[in-house]
Amino acid sequence: MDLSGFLRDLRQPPSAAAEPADPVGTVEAWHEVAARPARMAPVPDWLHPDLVAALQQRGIQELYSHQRQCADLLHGGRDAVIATSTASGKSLAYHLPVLDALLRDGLDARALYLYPTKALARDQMADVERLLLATGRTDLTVAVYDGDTPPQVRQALREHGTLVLTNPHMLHAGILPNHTKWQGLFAGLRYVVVDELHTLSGIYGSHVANVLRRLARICAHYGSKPVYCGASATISNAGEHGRRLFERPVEVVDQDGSPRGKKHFVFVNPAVLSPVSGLRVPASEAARQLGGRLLQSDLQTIFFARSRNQTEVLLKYLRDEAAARQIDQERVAGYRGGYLPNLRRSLEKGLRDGTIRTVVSTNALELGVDIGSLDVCVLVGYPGTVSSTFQRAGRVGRRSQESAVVLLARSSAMDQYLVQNPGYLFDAPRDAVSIDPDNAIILTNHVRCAAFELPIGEQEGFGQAQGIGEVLEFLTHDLGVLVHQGGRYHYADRTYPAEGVSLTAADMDNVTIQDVESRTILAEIDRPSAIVEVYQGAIYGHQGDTYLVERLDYQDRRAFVRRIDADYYTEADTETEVKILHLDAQQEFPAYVAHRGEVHVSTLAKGYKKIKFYTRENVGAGEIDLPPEEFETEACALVLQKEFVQRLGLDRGGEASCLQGVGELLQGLVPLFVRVDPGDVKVLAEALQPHFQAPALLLYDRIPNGVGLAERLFVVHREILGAALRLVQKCGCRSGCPSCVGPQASLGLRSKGVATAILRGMLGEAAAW
Amino acid sequence: MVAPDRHKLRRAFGVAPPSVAKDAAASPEPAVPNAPPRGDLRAFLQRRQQAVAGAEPLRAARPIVDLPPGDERVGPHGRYWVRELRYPAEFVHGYVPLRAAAALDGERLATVAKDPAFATLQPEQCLFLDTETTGLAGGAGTVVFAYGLGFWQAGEVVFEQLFLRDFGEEPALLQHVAQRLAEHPVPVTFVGKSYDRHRIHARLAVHKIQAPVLTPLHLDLYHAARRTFGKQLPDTKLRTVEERRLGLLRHDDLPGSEAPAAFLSWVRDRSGAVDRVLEHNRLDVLSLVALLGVLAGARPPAG
Repeated sequence: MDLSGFLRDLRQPPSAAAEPADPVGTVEAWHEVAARPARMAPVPDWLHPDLVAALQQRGIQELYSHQRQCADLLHGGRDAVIATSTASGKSLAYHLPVLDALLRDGLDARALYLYPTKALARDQMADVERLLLATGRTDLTVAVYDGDTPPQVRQALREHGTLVLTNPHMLHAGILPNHTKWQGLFAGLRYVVVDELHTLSGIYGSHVANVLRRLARICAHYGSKPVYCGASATISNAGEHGRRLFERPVEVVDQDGSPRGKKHFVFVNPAVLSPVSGLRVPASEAARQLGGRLLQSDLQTIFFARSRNQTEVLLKYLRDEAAARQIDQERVAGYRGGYLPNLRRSLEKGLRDGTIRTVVSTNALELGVDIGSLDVCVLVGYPGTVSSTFQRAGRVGRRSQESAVVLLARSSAMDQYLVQNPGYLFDAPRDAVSIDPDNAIILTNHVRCAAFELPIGEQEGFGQAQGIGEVLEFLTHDLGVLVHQGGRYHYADRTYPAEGVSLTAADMDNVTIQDVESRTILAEIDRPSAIVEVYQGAIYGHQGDTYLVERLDYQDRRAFVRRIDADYYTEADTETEVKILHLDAQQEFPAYVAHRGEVHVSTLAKGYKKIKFYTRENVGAGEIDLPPEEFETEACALVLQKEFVQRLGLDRGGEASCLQGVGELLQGLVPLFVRVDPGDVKVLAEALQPHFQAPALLLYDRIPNGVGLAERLFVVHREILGAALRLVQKCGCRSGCPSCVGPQASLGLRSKGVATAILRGMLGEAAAW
Repeated sequence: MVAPDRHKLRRAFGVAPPSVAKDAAASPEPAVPNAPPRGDLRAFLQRRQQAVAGAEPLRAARPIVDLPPGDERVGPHGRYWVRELRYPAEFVHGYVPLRAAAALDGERLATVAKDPAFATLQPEQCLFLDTETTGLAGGAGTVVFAYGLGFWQAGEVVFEQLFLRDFGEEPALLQHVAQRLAEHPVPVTFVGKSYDRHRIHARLAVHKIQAPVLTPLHLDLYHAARRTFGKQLPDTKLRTVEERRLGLLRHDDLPGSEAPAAFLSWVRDRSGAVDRVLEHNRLDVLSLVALLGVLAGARPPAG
């Protein structure tokens, strides 16, 4: 079966007449993105002849127009952001001017590349090295400097690295605080390249913006004025984002000159299992069905699952499908964070050379790791953001070949909204990426780090940040880590401040997963996830195999697993408790009061269920005995007024639980309004919130210490309530379904009605109820 | 864009607001009493507890610590504080006369230092060097707040101690150190090869003062002592070597680990025991001279 055959089958299920329901589901929408021819431009005249020759050796006679445009800008000393499609050759656009400078000026010209992951930095290093090798130059050191760089080569690299590839965390915690060891790099720095700019969003992006402010100070200290280049996936505000990150004007290159084959976007809604409850066939089950067909074809396919667990379960299903069809199971692979680097490299290679025909991945393959071009992309559930969707879709159909992207909708509000309104993906502007570099907490932490690096002058400022004076006074008089003398603020503390400032929650200490039989390390997992994935008794999936977790050594951060053939997987039950610590603003409405404040969140994994593969039967349970994961953060609380509660009868048990339906709705809709990842904000509905002694919805920032999401929610929460009301009113179900307030089975017959009344009341005047 | 507010920052970082009287002028808003913090709750409570337990009253009672007698000098980068002491060759440190290091046995030195370059080292080339820093964290922001320098001049050991009275004086201080490094180009230290010289290098770079500190020959007596006494002594820490090979017993010595805290409180309110840090540093430098004499002096002291 080729692609047209696959698409024909999707359009007209082969057995539609014979079988009552096609298990994959119904095609709700079909969208075609037309093919586009390549727009080319000659290799620029300014390019070093050795580089021209190196390009020719690789068969490159011409550039795509966007590559040329970007390379010219950078070469001319202009800062630029290039935002074109996945695999359009963005990196060549900046490699050319950078390598040109290095070839001409040797050690006097240096460059710094930042990538979000170590894997990507290594990938790009290999690419640059190939290009350099083809020029015949061997005296220029291109090297990755990160946590995996062996200590014995670090010094040489610090002194002679002409092109240093690293990540924001390493720049923040390793390089900038030790800038005096990198004088050569900073004095000669000609280019700073920040790749995957779109991943620098939200909190993480706000941190990185401040790291770049610190970098700019260090460059100024050593007298260099680098040209900045950002490379991004297509987002709606690439220029604005680049300007905020770099704090300088940038040129935007977004006219994509790369060719594109025709691409089909097929929106499939899995069959309804029970019309009463509205429950649909799980997207992963639909994916298994689709995967069975695809395995027999020649189409190289990537499945994007939404979690590690889902990745492993689907991988197992597809391996089983392959076995049933007598297809070599090695052709089916999984890919996700936590796999060790060597395994990842071999999987990437397998995908490039075509020995792996089917891969199931988390968002780990969303970033620019080179895996070649595939034919079919199956999104098992909406990825959560528009740009993420197109990043994943970009994994198929490179150059002029035709390709397909199949979205398998889940029952969730977001997914159902999308299959009903596919235009949202294509017509609405791409996601805007937003950051807030002047977030008080983030800013203060980085000003502290900056003072450690160089004393801060009274009049110096810090990038374009406002109100640095207040921050410096706070650090001096309240925190007592600076001393104000001789017109400058000097770092006067024993600590190494970058150590205490984490750019992401993700670089916290990992738990390693060890196979007790082979005594090898199988994988890694971040600590907060460990309590829900590798507790004693859990089944840990790895490359489609099942392992039993025999013991989790929480103190030593190690989990010990043994390979077994389990016919079930496990799911942890967690209980989250939110305590109000402090409230600092409120808005009063007739039906409720909105508060903004600070909360303490603790999540306890209490027990787990054993769930049988395929049938999803509950086949057992166990207890989890681990300490809770705790953090403090900011929250927005919507507390219902007493009269309103009495009017709707929410003080009665059954009705009270309907608030949960409202919570579900808000949870699904928040990312559309706050522009964050779906997991960044959590909504908790409590029928009787202990602090307020009233029913309340708590929306809190999932990032420890909070980074202002709650503040934004406090401002826009009424828009979200409005969208929730529209969604629930439009939903075709009678009394609640997973697409709106949740399945009625769990909340009772009146759940939809009560939830609607709550929303209407919250939005309306008191008179309306 | 709203400028950060100090009260919010205090709460966010778990810092108790200062006493009302002191800060009343600076803060138009009333401080939020007992406002729970958003940082680490436990750490916040511990800090509060300490504050309640009497850190505040104690502060007022802490005596001002005076520096030992010294001179204020003015260099191209401004004023700085120096204390100069001269020790005749006959001065006995522990039971080792300093003259033991006035002439060196080049061959022995080259052997114990495991570098033939030291065979021709002249005593006048040596700059005995010990630093006191604001911490062990490393990085550009770990400041050297005291330098002890020793060198031979006209048959005497000149001991110079430079102390950072004010952060603004650091460039002047560094300029003096750079000058001495130029005159006596071989630093002699104890564990300085891996520590002190990197700290000095970092501070020079922060203030853009040129001086070779990483490149020149560097005599680290820790390694020489380990090669010489390693098998005879339980360890070769400076204290052990002083007691067992120099005959020096320190009384009331401030442990080196307490030096950062002493300086940091002195620089804020003159309350830290920097006088004891300076005394500790003086003994360290004299021990370097004596130890070199014991390890490689041409006329080693009678044992």
